[in-house]
This record gives sequence, structure tokens and C-alpha cells, in this order.
Amino acid sequence: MPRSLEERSSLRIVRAVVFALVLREMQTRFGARRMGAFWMLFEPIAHVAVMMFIFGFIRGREVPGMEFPVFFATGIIPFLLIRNLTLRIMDAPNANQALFAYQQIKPFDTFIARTIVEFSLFLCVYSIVIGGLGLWLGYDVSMHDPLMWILALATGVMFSFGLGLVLCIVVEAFPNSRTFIRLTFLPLYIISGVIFPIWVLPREYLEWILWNPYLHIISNLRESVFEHYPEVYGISFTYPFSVALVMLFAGMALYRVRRLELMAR
Amino acid sequence: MIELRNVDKSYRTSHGRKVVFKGLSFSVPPNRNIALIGRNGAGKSTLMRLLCGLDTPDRGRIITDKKISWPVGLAGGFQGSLTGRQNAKFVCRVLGAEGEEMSRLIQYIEDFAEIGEYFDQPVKTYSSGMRARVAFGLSLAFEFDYYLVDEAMSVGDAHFREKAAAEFRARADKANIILVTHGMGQVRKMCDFVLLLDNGRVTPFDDIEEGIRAYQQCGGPIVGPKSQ
Repeated sequence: MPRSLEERSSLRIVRAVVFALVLREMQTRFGARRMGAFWMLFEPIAHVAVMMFIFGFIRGREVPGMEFPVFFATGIIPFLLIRNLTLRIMDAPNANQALFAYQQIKPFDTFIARTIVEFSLFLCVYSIVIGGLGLWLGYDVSMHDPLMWILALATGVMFSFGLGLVLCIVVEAFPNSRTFIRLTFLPLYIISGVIFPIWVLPREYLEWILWNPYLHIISNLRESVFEHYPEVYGISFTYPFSVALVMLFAGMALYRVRRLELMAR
Repeated sequence: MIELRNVDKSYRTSHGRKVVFKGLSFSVPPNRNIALIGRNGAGKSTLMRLLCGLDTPDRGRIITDKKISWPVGLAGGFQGSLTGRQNAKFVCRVLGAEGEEMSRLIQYIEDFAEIGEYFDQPVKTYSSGMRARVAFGLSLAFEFDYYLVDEAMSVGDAHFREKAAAEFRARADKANIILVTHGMGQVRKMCDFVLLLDNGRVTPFDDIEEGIRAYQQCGGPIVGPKSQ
């Protein structure tokens, strides 16, 4: 017996679609390789572990008043989240093009679904790495100000979501810009102060990279973890938050204008 | 009843704008099984995308109070690395079927597709005929007023085509078909209304034999896209 299609409220449709997309995304990523679930978590953890080894043990980098592995982990894992989020949202409509044949699925649903997937993955990786550092290696991983951490992270997610939306529209309009955008994301690692404490930079350089909202977000995250995080010149909570709001607005406005082009190609 | 009023549609290409339809108007009387025929490049896919809401006209309106399915084609939005069952579940979830109801629908699709244990194998291992079977079952699991069938009917074997045709006959009072095809045998068998697409114009034919004749006469080389 076939099923009749009843009227549903928009909210129920969005909920059903996002749920279906999240499951699909997870299944696709799990099922892509043997032991997919393991690799999905192992990949970012290995990334973090290797970087930690290089900078912590080989180069012997130290951050006064903080333990380097914890300092590093609290920066790089959220950084990977917000960077990946932007890039994955940018590619979301393209990757799900065939699904727009089902009228219930709109590009925006794919953005939300990917955000949920990336965020859950981040939470798992973060808990495992921090838990490992704390329980197994005996570092002090306690969080100084959890509420502030949540706020800083939310700002980061908001900013990445907005930026991803904007880039998604840009890439749709100028397909060649995709490679260029991906390239500009490479040096972001360095100028976001993920690997080194930014207060070692001379002020004249710092002034320039302070334009980068990721720098503020990462610094704010660390400030909420460490009790004795120094006051850094120019770092604020309001700057990344306002940039995030602007990005979010610009992204949604552009999406509204170009939503039909995103679906049809 | 499906009606198109003054529909314009064009696409951006690397060689400027390509106009597919300009001022396209036609209407289809209710309760007819429609065959959409035309040469390659005549605009069948574009018209199909417009009808099922996958694309919107640049200008003009498409007026209908009917539910038109997604195109039942080969691609069907299937994710190659997922199994037929997982893909089917995905669509059920999107359309709001949960729990008990979903298992019932999945059972229906599995029975209809008749591909045995391949139903639990990744879709990328399927042949085009097997894909078509699952895609067909999937859209038949939901009640639409029009089923938009693109390609799926052409790749299935005789047994499957017969089964699909029987299913449509069984639902003749509730559902109709919009068949996009190059196979005139299928048109004769399943349809009673012809829409002939040629050079961005649509000619409706009440009599299918007349439509088929007109289609056969409009052969010749494919005229390149009209640039503006």
C-alpha cells in the first residue's frame, strides 16, 4: 500500500529533512571505508597528535604558565571545527545536488545538517583528546570558565556558518574561485595563532592579524580554559561576535536572493 | 490540469545565454497519461525540471493543483556508497514516514524492486536496470497525482516494464504518468496524450498516432542552441 502525502507544517518538514540528512551524511562517512567510524575519529586525533609531537617535543615549544599539549589541543581542535565547517558548508549544495529533486530538501537544510555532523564530530574528538591528556597523561585540563567557552565557541560556529554561506554563493557564481578560497584557508593556520601564543608577536604585526576573527575566537577559547591566560592586546569578544552577525546576515541575505540558482545547475 | 503560461527559461553557459523556452504556453487536460517526446536537445529535461519544481521559470507561471513526483530516473539522488535500503529509508524520512510506516514502505519497495539481496548492497554495485527498479518502487510507494518517469522505463527488462505498466493501470483512477521517452512502443502502450517538443515549442496532440507521426517527421540534424 502506498502512502498518501499529508500536509505537514514547514517546521516538521525541516526537522524530518535535517534528521534524514544527518543520518545520511553519517552513514556515508562511516561506510566510506572499513571501520569508517574509527577513521572518522582517528583522522583528526592523529592530526592533532602529530602536530603536538612536532611542536611540543621536537621543537620543545613552551608557553609560560600553561602546559603546551593542553594549550595546543584547546586551540587546534576548535580551529579545525570552524575551518572545516566553513569549507563543508561551502560545498554542501554541490555535494547534495541530486537530492534537490525531492522538493522537501532545500540547500539550507544541507547547511544545518553538515553543521550538526561537524559539531558532533568535534565534541567527540575534543572529549577524547582532552580526556586522554587529563586522565592518561595527567595534565590539568580543567576548564576555568565553561560559560565563556561555550560563548566563544558559539561565536566561532556562527561566524563559520555565515562565512560558509557567503562563500557558497560566491562559489556558485564563480566556480573557479573554489581553488583560490581553499588556498587562502591554508595560511589561516598560522595567522590564527593556533600553534604559538600570539602575545609573542611584535605589536606592529599583531595589529594586522587582529583583523582575523579566528584569531580572536581561538584566543577567547583559551582564555576561558586557562586561569592565568594573559591579557592580549587587541583581543576582544565583541569584534568576532559582530563580524559573525554581519556574516550571518550577509550569508542569509545572499542565500535568499540566490537560493534558486543554488538548487538548479 | 497542468497549465503553462508564457514561460521563459534560459540558462547561463560559457557561450552566453542559452534560451530554451520563450513564451511557452500550453495546457494538458486532466486525467491523461502524457508522453513527452522530442529529439535530444529539444528541451525535454528542462520542461521536466520545470514541471516537478526542480527549477523555476525566468518568467511566466506554471499552474497546477496536482502533486507531481520527482523525476523517476537513473540518478534518483542515490548515494552510491549507501545500500538500496539506506537510500530508500532516507527518502521515506524526508517525506515524513517514520517507524512502523517506514518499515511497511521499505517492504513495499523491496517487493516491488525484486532485486533480492542486492537491496542491502551499495547502490554503486547496481546495474542501471536495478537502479531503475529501486527508483521506481520508491516513487510508487508514495501517492502522487502524476508520476514523472524519465529513463527508468527504458532500462528495465520486459518483466519489470510489464509490472510497472500494470501498477499504473491499477491506479488509473488516482494517478497518471508523464513519460519522457524515445520508445514509441511505450507511448502507444501507456499514454493517451502526446506533448511534442521541437525547437523550444510544445505541440499537444490528443491523438497519439498523429503525435508520433509528427515526431518522426521532425528528424534531421540537431539545431544548436539559440544564442541571444
